[in-house]
Amino acid sequence: MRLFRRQSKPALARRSWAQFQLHTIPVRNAAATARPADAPVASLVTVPLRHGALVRLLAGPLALRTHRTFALDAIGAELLGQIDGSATVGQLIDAFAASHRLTFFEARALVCAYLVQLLERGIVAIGVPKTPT
Amino acid sequence: MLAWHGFQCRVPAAWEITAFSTNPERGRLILSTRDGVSAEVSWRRLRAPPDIPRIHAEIHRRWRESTAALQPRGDSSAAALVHAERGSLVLSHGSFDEPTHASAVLGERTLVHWMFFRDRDHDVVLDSLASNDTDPRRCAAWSIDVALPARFELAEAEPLPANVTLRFTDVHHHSIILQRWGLASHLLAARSPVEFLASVLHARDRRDIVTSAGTFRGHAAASARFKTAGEAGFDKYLGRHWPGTALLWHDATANRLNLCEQFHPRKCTPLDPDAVVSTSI
Repeated sequence: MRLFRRQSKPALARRSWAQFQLHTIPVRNAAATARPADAPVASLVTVPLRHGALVRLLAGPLALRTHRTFALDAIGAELLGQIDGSATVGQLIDAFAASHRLTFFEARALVCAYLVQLLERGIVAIGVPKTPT
Repeated sequence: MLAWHGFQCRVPAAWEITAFSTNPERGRLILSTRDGVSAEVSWRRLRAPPDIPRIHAEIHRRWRESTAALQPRGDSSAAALVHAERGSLVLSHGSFDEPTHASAVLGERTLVHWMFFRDRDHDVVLDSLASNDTDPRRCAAWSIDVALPARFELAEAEPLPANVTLRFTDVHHHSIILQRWGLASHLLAARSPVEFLASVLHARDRRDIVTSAGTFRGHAAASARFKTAGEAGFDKYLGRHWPGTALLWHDATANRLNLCEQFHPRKCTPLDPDAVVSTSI
């Protein structure tokens, strides 16, 4: 009897990492709000902060901030606008490459680097589809 | 178009260089599409005539070893390579799902070896494969396509996303920098090419910058004359300045900004960008 059994990876993860990335789906944080702003900033995105229980108790008396606001430039706002919960990273890259006349690899580097920044700031999350699209 | 150390050829439009070496003696380029690696080309300066079938067999053996973990277990279909000649090329085929090899000795002593991972695009590459040991020598990569006197060597390549820079120098320290930016409309914003060029040159610590507006091959352009700190010899230590010129043009159709910048010791003569830039940059 085997005590430990190696879990098989999802079908997508067995493909190459680059191909796997293209099939993931970025989803906007439902709690984040975006509003237009004056140039050179194109959009301001406000994200609520999640504090631990102790900090939550002290947040009121200490007047700790409960939200963080990020300024997006025109390209960032355009990219965020295309994240609708159904477009895959690959589709976002193709759309970005077409609208700015970039090659696939140029667009992939720029879009993926930007998505990482949006992820780190809690503006988007990345979803993995159960079946390849 | 792809032109690098010792060879030039046409490649499918979807192929992009995703790994590279700048060593003229030996190195390789990896060309990929969104589906993965399409081909790999390597070059090597030879001292003696090569035994190409043996080289193919050795490269193929190493490829099989490196991909052994990805092959189905118990797969013993590793057939021997079949060699064929096609003009000056030697082609070697393995099993149907294995890469195809093609090699030729170009120029006097450059062995160029192609390894194709998919079958369909061989002919475009192999039919146009030619030596690049000519004067002027061509360099075409990442959509920069230039023909420079053979005395210029590729000193540096920096292919950042939508910002590719190639720098060439000769023995007299004459430097030519070719740069190509994407997202031109975003980079320019409300600035003119003259303002953009001035900001680029200021950021590079160029001095006494004199700019003027113009056109280059029908595109809005800006040219500049400047001085920069000497980079070699006594000029570097005595603080002498070298003269330089720069030409920037905005290809609105391709949404690209192209820059041809050069600087050199006073005794050198600058090249004409119109003669240097072959078809596009």
